[in-house]
Amino acid sequence: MAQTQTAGLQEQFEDLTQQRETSNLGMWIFISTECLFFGGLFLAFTVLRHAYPVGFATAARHLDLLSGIAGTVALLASTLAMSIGLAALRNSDRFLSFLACFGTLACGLIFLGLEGSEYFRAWHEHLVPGGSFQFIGPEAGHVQMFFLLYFVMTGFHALHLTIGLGVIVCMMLLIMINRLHAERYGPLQVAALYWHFVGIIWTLLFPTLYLLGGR
Amino acid sequence: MNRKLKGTKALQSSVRKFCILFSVLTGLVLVSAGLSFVRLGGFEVLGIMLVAFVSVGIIVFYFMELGSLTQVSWLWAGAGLLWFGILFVLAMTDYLTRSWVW
Amino acid sequence: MINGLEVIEVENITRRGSYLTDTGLGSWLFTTDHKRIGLLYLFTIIFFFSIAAVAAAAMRLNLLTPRGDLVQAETYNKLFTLHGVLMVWFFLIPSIPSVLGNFLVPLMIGARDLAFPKLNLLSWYLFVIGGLVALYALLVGGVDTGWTFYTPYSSTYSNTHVVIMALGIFISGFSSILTGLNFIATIHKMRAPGITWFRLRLFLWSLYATSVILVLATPVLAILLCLLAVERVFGVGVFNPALGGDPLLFQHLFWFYSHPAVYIMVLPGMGVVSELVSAFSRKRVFGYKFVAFASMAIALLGFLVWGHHMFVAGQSVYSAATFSILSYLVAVPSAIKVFNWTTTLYRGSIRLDTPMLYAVGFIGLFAAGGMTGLFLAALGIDVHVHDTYFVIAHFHYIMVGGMVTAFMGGLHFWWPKITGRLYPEFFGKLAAIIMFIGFNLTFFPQFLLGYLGMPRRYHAYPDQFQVYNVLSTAGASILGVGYLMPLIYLIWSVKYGKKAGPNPWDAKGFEWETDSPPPTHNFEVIPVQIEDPYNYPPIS
Ligand SMILES: [Cu+2]
Repeated sequence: MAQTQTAGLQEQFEDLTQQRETSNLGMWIFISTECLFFGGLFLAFTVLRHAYPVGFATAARHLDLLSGIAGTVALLASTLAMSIGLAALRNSDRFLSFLACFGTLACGLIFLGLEGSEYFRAWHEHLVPGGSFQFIGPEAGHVQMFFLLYFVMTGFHALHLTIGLGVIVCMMLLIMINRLHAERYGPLQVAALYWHFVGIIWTLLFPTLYLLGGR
Repeated sequence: MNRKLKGTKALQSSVRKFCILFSVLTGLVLVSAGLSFVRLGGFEVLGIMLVAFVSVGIIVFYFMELGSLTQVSWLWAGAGLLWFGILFVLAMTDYLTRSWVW
Repeated sequence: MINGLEVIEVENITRRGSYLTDTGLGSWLFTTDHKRIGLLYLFTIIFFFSIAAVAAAAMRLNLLTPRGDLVQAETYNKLFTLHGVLMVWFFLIPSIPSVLGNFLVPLMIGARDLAFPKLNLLSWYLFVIGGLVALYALLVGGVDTGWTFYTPYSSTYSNTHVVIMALGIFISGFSSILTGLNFIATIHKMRAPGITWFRLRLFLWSLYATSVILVLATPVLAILLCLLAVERVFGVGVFNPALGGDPLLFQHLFWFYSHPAVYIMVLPGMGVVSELVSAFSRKRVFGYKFVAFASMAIALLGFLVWGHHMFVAGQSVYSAATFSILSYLVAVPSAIKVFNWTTTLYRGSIRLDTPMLYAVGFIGLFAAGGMTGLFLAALGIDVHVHDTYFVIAHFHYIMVGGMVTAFMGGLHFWWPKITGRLYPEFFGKLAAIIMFIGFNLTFFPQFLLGYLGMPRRYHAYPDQFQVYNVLSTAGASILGVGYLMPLIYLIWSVKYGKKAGPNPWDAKGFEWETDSPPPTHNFEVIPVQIEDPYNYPPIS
């Protein structure tokens, strides 16, 4: 018992509870940082949308709503799987936990696939800002502005998601070699917090980009 | 043995809870997508954002377990939100009052 | 009896060594010891400070003559950009937090290390990488936008290496965020038994407040620089009005970060001064809770005032008035601090050692800098002095007169703890006085210049301003001597200074209870705080 109490305890902490609570708090602080990181983007979007409502609405209608909904549901499912994975680990069901993490991974990949096809379509329709951009109509400049923000916002989100996928793979390995178990579930809890936050960003991005201008 | 059984029960009930919440969230996504097809004179935008905030709230409170966390995490989750608000409110004050001239 | 114990203790120390015992290069580059990381930061920021100081010297030399004979206008633009970028992001922001903060936070709260030691090392590497990228931008030709990177000049018209410089700042921004995150988690969760929030040292309160800003403001700068780079690369308007963008959006986001960043650059200094004033007047800091809460108030209010940089930029008048009033509000907690330090001195048993000279200098210079800030927060006066040397003088009084002075004071105060050796007191005092004189001679004339109407960022000026510019340049050379002296005698003292012993100042605090230099894990036994942290014996 004493063995399991100190295994994985870093030297600056007194016990595993302190270690877990501290890393949890660390992740929450990081999340507050991320709030402001994406907050700047949302502000930029709001200001420019406020200035050019018509152009932004026109542009938003070029996004595929069904693909957006499918991606959102996939991410919500990954959030669900992540939570089940954590609950399972806490209740000593390592197998279910591993399986749930795999489910998270799969849903995340589905999301990335959907977004990739969305990117591909935009590229195909010459909606990627820069030299290849083509749009006929009076609002062309503002449509390009919308797509610039679209790519920056979803791109940063996808980057966060990809990092999250890497973290989940690590977690699955740790569960497999029994480094994570009912007594030591802190790292998975922190990873889950991060994953949920990535989901939250999408929960806000989806309506902002796809829905606000009306269909 | 007994403890293990209790653990399994607890696991089952939390899985059920998460599944229900997942259905609620999915429903909310469909609601907001539906809202984007109606015209309510600007109120549809309000509705869409409201739905989004409710979804975020559900994720934060139930999936991220903010409801059961120590006070300090509350403090920092709140700080993120408050500062986001400061950025938005003070910056938008400028944009929304710029055309007021007397 | 006690002596006997001490002998055993000393033997233990010699046997187990200090955090400096291991000297291999790998032991430094892969260390997770907060004390070593603090020193790594110290070497790095001195390096960047030197480059930025050379740029400042070149500018001051150029301004000796009205014609600006030394450099051309373009070169001058690159010089002040380099000076600003390096001083702000690669010297001032990491100065006290990353050097003294890293070294002292675990020692002051009785912990063996920060909460996330590996993250701490990572943040140093990010800082170095960011710095190298910024230097690369300098080597391939520099940047001429000024440290504020205002659009659309920076995003469209400037032909210099804006994106590389922005990338450097972006990377080092994550170093700031990780450091802040680490401090906050540490202060919340790693305090030794008995350290309640109101037994927390004031330096830690101020670092906590600083960390709040680091964590919540820096990400906005990061995303802003991304948008700037994207606009520059793709040529799509976000900020460029010619392309339908909004230049004020850039300024809003920039100053949402950069005004609070000013408090990153002074709050830690305030924390150091609180410690110094208490230790050298041998008294509890007057109004401890007010000083602590003032730090937090500054951290919060600092986020509500950024529009005072945009009074003449075309923002809404209602917004401008709101920002003006809110800016006045920040003066309240700052003034509370100044009053409380002064009152702490009252009937104290004051010793004017080198650190205290710096502390007293700080109080005066900070007061001058703060009061002139009020001029700039006033809508009408700002129209007159906006973008003149008045602004330059104002913020140098805060950043050099405030932060650098406090940094020097803190460095001297904790030098015996860091190295285990005393610096030469006579030269220390001399340098402190030279710095004070040099500083005032450099920057006071700039207040007058600005009031008379000399704009900032010009490499040439009308003849009638020459007297003040010559005075300023003369002051800068004195200031330079003031900076060189500590560099020499502090290095000298590492080898030849007198042994300091655990507590050369007879000061209160956990860091003075462990050896000098401290052992790798700081404390043999985690100490317990049983009384007020500044419980000095009553003065007879
Ligand atoms: Cu300001």
